[in-house]
Order: sequence, then structure tokens, then C-alpha cells
Amino acid sequence: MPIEIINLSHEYNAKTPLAKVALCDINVKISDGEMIALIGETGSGKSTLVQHLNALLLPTEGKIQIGDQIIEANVKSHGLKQLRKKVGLVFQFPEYQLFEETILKDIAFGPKNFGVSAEEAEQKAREMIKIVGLDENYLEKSPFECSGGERRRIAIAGILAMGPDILVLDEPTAGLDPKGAKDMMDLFKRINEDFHKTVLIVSHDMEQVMTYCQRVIVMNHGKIIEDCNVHEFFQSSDLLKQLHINPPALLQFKDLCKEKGIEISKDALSIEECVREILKGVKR
Amino acid sequence: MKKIEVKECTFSYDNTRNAVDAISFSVEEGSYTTLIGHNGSGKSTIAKLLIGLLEMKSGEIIIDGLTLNQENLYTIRDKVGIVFQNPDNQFIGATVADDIAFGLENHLVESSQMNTIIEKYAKSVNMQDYLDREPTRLSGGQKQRVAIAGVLAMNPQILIFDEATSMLDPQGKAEINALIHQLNQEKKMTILSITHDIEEAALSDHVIVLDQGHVVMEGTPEEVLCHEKELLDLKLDIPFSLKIANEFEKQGVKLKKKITLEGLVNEICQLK
Repeated sequence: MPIEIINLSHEYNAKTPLAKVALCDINVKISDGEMIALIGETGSGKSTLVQHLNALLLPTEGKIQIGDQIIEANVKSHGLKQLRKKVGLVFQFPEYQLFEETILKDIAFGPKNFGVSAEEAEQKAREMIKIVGLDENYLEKSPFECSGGERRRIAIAGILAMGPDILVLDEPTAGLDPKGAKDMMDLFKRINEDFHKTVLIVSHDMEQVMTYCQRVIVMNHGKIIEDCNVHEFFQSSDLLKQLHINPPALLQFKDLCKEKGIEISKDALSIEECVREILKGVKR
Repeated sequence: MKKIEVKECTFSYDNTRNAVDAISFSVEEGSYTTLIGHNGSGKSTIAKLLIGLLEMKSGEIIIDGLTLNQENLYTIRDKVGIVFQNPDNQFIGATVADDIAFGLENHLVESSQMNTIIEKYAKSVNMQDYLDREPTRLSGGQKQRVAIAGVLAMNPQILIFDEATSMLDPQGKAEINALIHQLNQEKKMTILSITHDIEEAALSDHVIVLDQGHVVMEGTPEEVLCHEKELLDLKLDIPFSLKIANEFEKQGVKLKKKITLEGLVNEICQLK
């Protein structure tokens, strides 16, 4: 299900003295099966934009087309419930939203809400718990017995159970230990590659963006200021520094080398390539 | 001198598995110690035991020469300040000034003195221009700084940070890490920081690695953080500079192991 956002703006508290423009003239196309990172400083409009993708917020100007559905400013939209089923939104710290007695009930809650029969919803829960890397024994446990990382997986299983085509995740690895974060990112990659779902990740972690995503969309003050391929994006750390975003360690390393007069070409985007270039320079 | 001493301390939430299992370690006065371990390794439990929020099953905790028990509990809490993970869960006041005042009020500080104290500690975390602000208008990093100011106003000797930066954006993280350093270097405060951020651990004086409620490794960052296999097995990571050094080794050049990028680049310069 492709997404096209056309001249979209969003103003909070429009027509009041508290009006604040959060998004300004956004244009983006997202094709099926992409894995995209949405980055930018805190307050740059990332969350506001993401909430438009399943109509939790409606544009105050412009429009957004998701599959066949068009949501336009000042036009009453129908079928938003169907849309919300197709775009799964995982908020930050989704584990805080678990509430049911058992994990089975918690995962089945979403699909049931969308009108699926109880049996079918439970069936979904059984499938999804495995996809997020936990086994079926968990289903009868209380979500509150589980560790933070496990709870987060359960929350994500609950979103997947609704069968979305597009998965949008707001900082999905915040607070996890390095292994937990890596497992989580591997899971999204698998959801993207094996289940052909479009994945959009809001992230502050540039190592992850560099390793897992193909495309980067950068927001600043409510506007999209860059939208390009990951390799192009990480050729220099200048833009990142302007945006107060920590460059990935590899770029920091390259910058430090440069200060000391060791030049590494912009195309070297792995540790291996960088080291090879440095050694070539030394031997010469 | 040992500022914190934990001896054979055991704790269990459910009496089936020990979250903390006969653990022993100590924190030197004036040091910046990090306690690292994966989610569920027992780190936060230890923080709560140290300030008596949880009661241990067996063992002994000695803080600044005092044994933690019912009698000494409040004296010890005056010595130890703690900053938790979630900036939104520890903002109590309606404004920044109110929030810093909360602890002072509980300690029955005269209201005539309070403003001076509030200003002093707001300044120490660089939040003096925000005293009238409401928490909703602050960033996560700013909220954590206010939490730190509130703790500093109690004049503690030891500060514990329980994953205090893990919910912050990179900017917020950098702010708090710089502040932790400053408190350690300039105010000579003893710091115990609980984290799973390896780059953060690399900046400390002493690293203690936990797994399943035990100490599994301990030493200076240089000694501890180069154990790649062990750290990866413990669901942790190694500093980026070591990953690069390892690649050099793979390509036939052995470098001295450095845990900061600056150190590594200096080593590389020696190659020429």
C-alpha cells in the first residue's frame, strides 16, 4: 500500500491564540516494501507526521493518500477504521500500553476490536508471538511477569496481529540493552524482507539507521530538509552536526582521522573499508 | 576509602529466583563507577537496595561507614541521591522551582532560605532561566537536569544514576553525561552510574559488569571493555574504537587497545 503525502501542513490549535505550526508543506512518497528512517531533533515534527499516517491527526492543509484512501484537509473522511488496520503505529515504550490479564488476550485485543472472531484473533496471537521471537508458552502468562524487552515484543505482536501493511515505529529500541536493540532491529528487517511490509522507523540512533535502513528522511522545524539514500546521507557529518544529531561512530572516526591528516574517502562506509584505506596510505 | 560497600547481598522478588545473588562490590570515594549489564541483570534492583527501597534477604550494605538498617535508613538517604530513568515519572512540582523545592520542604528548610538554595542548584545544572517553567514545556534532558538539581539540593555525597540517560535523545544524553562528569570532577562527588551504554562506561574510572545478579567482571574500562566475546555473550557490546582496532588486527596490524576514538586515532597516527 503506497503512501503519498502532498503539500501537507498541520497546525495545532488552529485558529486559536495558541496556534502552532508543527508541519509545513510536507511532500513524500513511500513505496511498498521500503525500510525508511525518519530522523530529526526532538520537536522537529517527526511524531506529528507519523500520526498522520493512520489519521490520528488530520491535515489542516494538503492531503495524504494511503492506498485508495484519500484524507484531505477540511473534507470529512470515511473508513478511517479500515485505514488504521492497515497502518500499524507503535508508539514509544509500547510496553506501557499492555493491560490484559494474559498475553494471549492482549495480542488478540486489536484484531477483535477490528471485528475478527475470538478464535481467529487467538489464532493470530499464536502466529504473531512466534514472529516476534517468543514461544507459545508465553501466551498464558501475564504480560506483567515479563521483562521490559519481552513486553515490548508482545506490544509489537499486538500491532502485527491486526495485519498492517505498513509498520510505523517511534524509537522502538529506546531503553533496550545492545543485544535487545539488535534483536529488535533484526526483527523489523525480517518483517520488512520476509513479510514484505513497509517499515518506517523514527530513530535517534544513527548506527541503526546506517545499518538497517535504505532511505533517510530528515525533518527540521516541521519541514523535510533531506530525503535520500542512506549511503549518500552518511557521506559527511556536516548536516548531522547542524541538526544536533550525533553522527554515527564511523563518521566521527573519519572526522577525527581527517583532523590528524589521515584522509579516508567518502564512499568508505564500513569499518573494513576504512581500515583498508588507512593501511594503504601507511604503506605508500 | 570505600564509600559504598556491598557484601554478599541477596534479594529475590518472588522467592524462586534471586534477582541479586550474594553480590559483593565496592565503590571508592570520589570515583565515577559504572555498573553495566543487560536488561534484567539486576542493576536497578541494586540501586533500590542501596537506598533501602527494597529490603535485602541477606547480606550487608555499608554506605559512608554506616550499615544500612532500619535505624540508619534516613541518615543514609540523606547521603545518597538517586536519579531514575524516566524524566516524566520524577517531576513532582508544578514548575521547575517547585520541583527543586520538594525535597527541601520535606526537610523543613525555612522558606526564607529556600529561594537562594533553589537558585544555587538550578544554576549548577544550568536551568536557572527556567525556574517558572512547567514540566510539559521542558525537553527530557532538561527534566532530568531538574531532577538532578532537586537531588543536589539535598547535599548528598553519593549520586546514583539508574539509566538516567536511556530515555533521552542524543542531545539530552550528552548534556547529562557532561553534567555527571562535572559533578565528579569539580564537586568530587562519588558517582555510581547504572547503564548499558558501553561508550558511557568507557568514560568512567571503574566498570563493574553484572549478569544474573552476580559481578562477572570488574576493573578499569581499559581492562574490562576489551573482552569482546564475554561482553557480547552478556548481551552487551564493545566500544566502537575496539571494533576498529580488531579490524586492523584482522588486516594484519596490531594496535594498542584504546577505548576512546581519540586514543585510537592517536595510535593510528603512530603507524606513519
